[in-house]
Amino acid sequence: MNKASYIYIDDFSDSSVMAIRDGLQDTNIIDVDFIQVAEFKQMILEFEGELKRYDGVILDLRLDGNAAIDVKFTASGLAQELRNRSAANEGIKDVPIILCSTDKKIREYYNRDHTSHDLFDYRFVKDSSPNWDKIATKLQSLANGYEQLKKFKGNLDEILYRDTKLLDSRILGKFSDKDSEFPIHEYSQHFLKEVIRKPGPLIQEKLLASRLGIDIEKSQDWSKLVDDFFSDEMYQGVFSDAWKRWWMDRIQNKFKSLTGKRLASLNAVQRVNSIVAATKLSSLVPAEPIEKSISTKFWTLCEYYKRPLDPLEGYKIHYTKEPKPWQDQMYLSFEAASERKGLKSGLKVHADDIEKLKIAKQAVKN
Amino acid sequence: MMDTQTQIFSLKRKLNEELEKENSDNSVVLSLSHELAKLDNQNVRFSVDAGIINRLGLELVGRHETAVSELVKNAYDADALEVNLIFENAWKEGGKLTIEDNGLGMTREQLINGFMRLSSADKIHNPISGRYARYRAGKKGIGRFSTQRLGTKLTVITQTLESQEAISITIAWNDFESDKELLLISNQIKTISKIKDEGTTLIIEGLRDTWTDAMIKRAYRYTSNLLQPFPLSDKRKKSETDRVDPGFKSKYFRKYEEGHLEPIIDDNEAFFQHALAEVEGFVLDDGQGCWSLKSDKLGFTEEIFFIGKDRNKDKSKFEFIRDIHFKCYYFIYESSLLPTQTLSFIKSVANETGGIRLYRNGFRVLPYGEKGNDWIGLDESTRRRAIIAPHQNNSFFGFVEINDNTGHLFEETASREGLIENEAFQELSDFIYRSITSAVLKVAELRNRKGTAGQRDWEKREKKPAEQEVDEAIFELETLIENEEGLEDQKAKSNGTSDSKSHFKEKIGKLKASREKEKEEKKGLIEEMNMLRILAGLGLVIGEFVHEIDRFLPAFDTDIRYLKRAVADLTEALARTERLDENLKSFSTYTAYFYEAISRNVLRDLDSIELRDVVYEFEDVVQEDIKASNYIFYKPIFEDYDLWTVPMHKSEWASILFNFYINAKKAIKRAESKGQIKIRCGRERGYVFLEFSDDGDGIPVENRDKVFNAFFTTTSAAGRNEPEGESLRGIGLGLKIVKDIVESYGGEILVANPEEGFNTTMRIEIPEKKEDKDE
Repeated sequence: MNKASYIYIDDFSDSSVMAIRDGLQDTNIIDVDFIQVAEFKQMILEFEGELKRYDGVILDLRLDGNAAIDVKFTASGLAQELRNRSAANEGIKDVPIILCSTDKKIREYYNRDHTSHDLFDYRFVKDSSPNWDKIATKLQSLANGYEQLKKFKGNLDEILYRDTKLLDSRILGKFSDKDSEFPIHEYSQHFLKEVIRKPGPLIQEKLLASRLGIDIEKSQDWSKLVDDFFSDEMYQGVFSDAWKRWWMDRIQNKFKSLTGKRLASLNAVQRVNSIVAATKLSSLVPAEPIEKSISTKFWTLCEYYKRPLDPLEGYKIHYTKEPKPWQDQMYLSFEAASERKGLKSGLKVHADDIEKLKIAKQAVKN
Repeated sequence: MMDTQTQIFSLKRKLNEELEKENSDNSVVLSLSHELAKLDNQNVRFSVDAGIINRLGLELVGRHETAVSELVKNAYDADALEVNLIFENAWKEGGKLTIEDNGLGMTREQLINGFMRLSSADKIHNPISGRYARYRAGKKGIGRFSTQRLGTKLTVITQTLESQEAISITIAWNDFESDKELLLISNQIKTISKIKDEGTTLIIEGLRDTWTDAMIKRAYRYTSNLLQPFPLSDKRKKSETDRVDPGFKSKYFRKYEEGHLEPIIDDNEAFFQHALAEVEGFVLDDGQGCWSLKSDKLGFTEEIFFIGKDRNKDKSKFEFIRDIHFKCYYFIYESSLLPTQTLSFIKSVANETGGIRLYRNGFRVLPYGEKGNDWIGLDESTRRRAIIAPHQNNSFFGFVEINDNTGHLFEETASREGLIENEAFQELSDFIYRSITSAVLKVAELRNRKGTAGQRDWEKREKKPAEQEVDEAIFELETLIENEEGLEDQKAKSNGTSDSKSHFKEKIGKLKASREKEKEEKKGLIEEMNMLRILAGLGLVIGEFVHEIDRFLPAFDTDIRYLKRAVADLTEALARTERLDENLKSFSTYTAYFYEAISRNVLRDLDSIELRDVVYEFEDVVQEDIKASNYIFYKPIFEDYDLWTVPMHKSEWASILFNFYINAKKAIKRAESKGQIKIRCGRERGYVFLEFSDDGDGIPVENRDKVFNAFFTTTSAAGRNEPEGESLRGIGLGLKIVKDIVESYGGEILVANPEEGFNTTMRIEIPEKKEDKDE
């Protein structure tokens, strides 16, 4: 697909807003046009006409923030209307909807209302140093993904680019019913949010390193290992151009066939030694446990430090939405949990593990 | 090098030689046998390095105030009735502290097996003291380390009632260096003649810390659970030989060169002088009752009132009781009457030990006046609310004395747990109850009169401020006297009786002077209030400003990126752009922090706060500034988990930490030091604490208590032409505001003795949240 074009809607039209447009535009990855928000009916009319030319919409969260114009709705209200109309085939093109706002507003308004979370495919924060390249890449991928989803017409094998019979049937869920039709954004929501972005059958690079027992920073041969030995295990379905993931079931099989051993039964040093022996890549360094942790039977990440952790030594994080049966739990290390790190970014210990943490703190004190 | 056998042989020979001497030196004997034991091929033994003494001392006893309070607790545990602490030359390090108690003292065995034996188990085996059955308050084995924590040299002089002589032992802590054997360091013990009947005196020389008055008072308060601030009548002071605990008092003095002792803190200083009123009463030999009230705070000089058995007839006689005396101090716990900290301190002691105690023939009778005992019915009466003014047991510290040598009137119960509640007893409690409640009502009336004298509505009609009224009244009074003086001048001369008049004049003079002082003080308060208003206004504006700024932050970034690309080939332009980028990043961390501080403040909800959260957040924000200033910010130390404060505003912590930080920056600049900053947090005695240390120029001891005063500043005043923002910095309100915040939660702020390697340590203590807060 060509360069995607997005339409960006904000309540202000001053230089601060133009800079958002320019930030994305300057990446040369996507095109962005700006329009200032108007009254609701007029906005819908505008979308009916203009949206055909675009591949996605970017909405500022508080569209009602400018006292100079009479607007009473927020991004959620507008997005809901767009979703409704596109699902009902009422002349609104089904495109990715992106939310952007300052961190504070996201915390104050968006995080408090979970009902609106399913409306947006992606959100980014307007802070002092946005990573425009990363954001633009994601937006491009979302536009691509919507195109592909349209083309695949619900063929799951094509969507995920693998034989889906071997997957937990719950992952595919409602979509395996051949008689029903679903709007594109439902596929996008489900696969992006519940399969790609949460650890489970698909895992991201740091988690892959944790499971292989490798310290990415210290291992010069890391990318070589991944490219030369685990490229077939990489996810190649929708959105894979911006979300780099690996199929965990295939990683385990590959490890077995490479080394003859079962990954989960080894500690970091054993895993790395086996890989080194099998691949002849010498610059691979076993990961060390996080401070105050001991085990190197890594299988997860400390969500605060983003470093390898043995789940037995971890404390489940508190979720606003509990993981689905096929998804992996996420954890904090003792150091992060006991020092209350990451609270600011919402990383709390799950109610189930508070008692366990209390006992561990007591043990450390004595 | 000798082989082992030869060594053993030579050691044995030396040992024999020493033992055969008439006065063999035990140190030599110990040392030789120790050497010998080390050469044992079959067995090995633990040995102890002398350095352990210093290490334990510093680790077990963190702060010098705590150390002193531990020693006072030891005196209490030794059944002392009184302990005096005398500080000499303690304004500087190297001073001397003498602690004298009149407790049981120690025998030679107790001294050697208890005090001189590490990890001795006496307090574990005997949790209750011998004479008065006190629950021992001191922690085990902390005492000797406290003395080590406090000074470099310790002299203990101790004697018991039975002993003929006193024992004196001197320990120079500096002898306990590392790489020496603990066993082999000997301390001189002497027998000297007794200096009193019984008791222990500790003389600690070479004090390691400076001692300000505030610190001394703090040490006193740390022993609050032992304090029983009950007045003693002279009669009773002499006859205390009973097993019932007569109470425990500690007094702290400074000694000056001429030997003059100046009291720093004692019961009177800490409690009685803060009482709202003193109530005293008698039942005379003829059965007539009377009570008196005195209140300096309400300007009420002592007055006596009669009280009769029949409440309608003041002169009616009591039927049974005779020769009764009571006295009590009355407290109302309102912040308008007492400074916050004093209030919470006295109240906490009163909650444990407040009430009216009963003494019969000089001996305390239990359980009257114990916690939970309501023998006069004050608590019950408060609950009935017939009398609204506070008068529950914890409003009083007082005693009742009955003299009943025949034992006819008041009989003890068979179980010896109190008196039989016969008619005499009923009459007694009725007399006390009615006297006290009459006094309480009188106090309420006095306070009320003060209130109505203000008469707000009347003021409005006259449109004259109260101040002006007072000034006019003083002026009128003055002219009145002067006029009379003119008229009666000759008369007075001839009589020579102008005494009362000059007395009058003197009082007027005093009134005028205090009036001026009051105005001066008020001016100060108004000034402070105005400044606070300006600051509050500014705070709101800054909040708005920070809110607006946020929108522009991504814009800066976009354009900087663009610029960077555009000028990629121009070295200087690129460097400037990168600098712009960096500066804007620091700038935005600050705005983020202020946004937190201010938006949190808008939500006026109080919430319990974990010190980690505010410290880490603060660390995040100043990170850039620390880097730019080249400071060293040590990893914050948390000595414990779950350091929850009582509910507070989170933004208040932003104020506190920023104030400390700004002060530290100034001090570091003045000292031109490396710029080391360290935060340490933990818990102690029901409080969580935070210590903020820097290596700036430090605070001179004489300023340590002053830094919290409004307008105390080290910054010179801003020039007339400097912008307003500049003139608001360094006005000396920072620490005052911090102090107000901390004290409003019943906490305390102080300049502690600096942590090693630093020059200033500010310490905040906030009461700890009671139950465990779930995350």
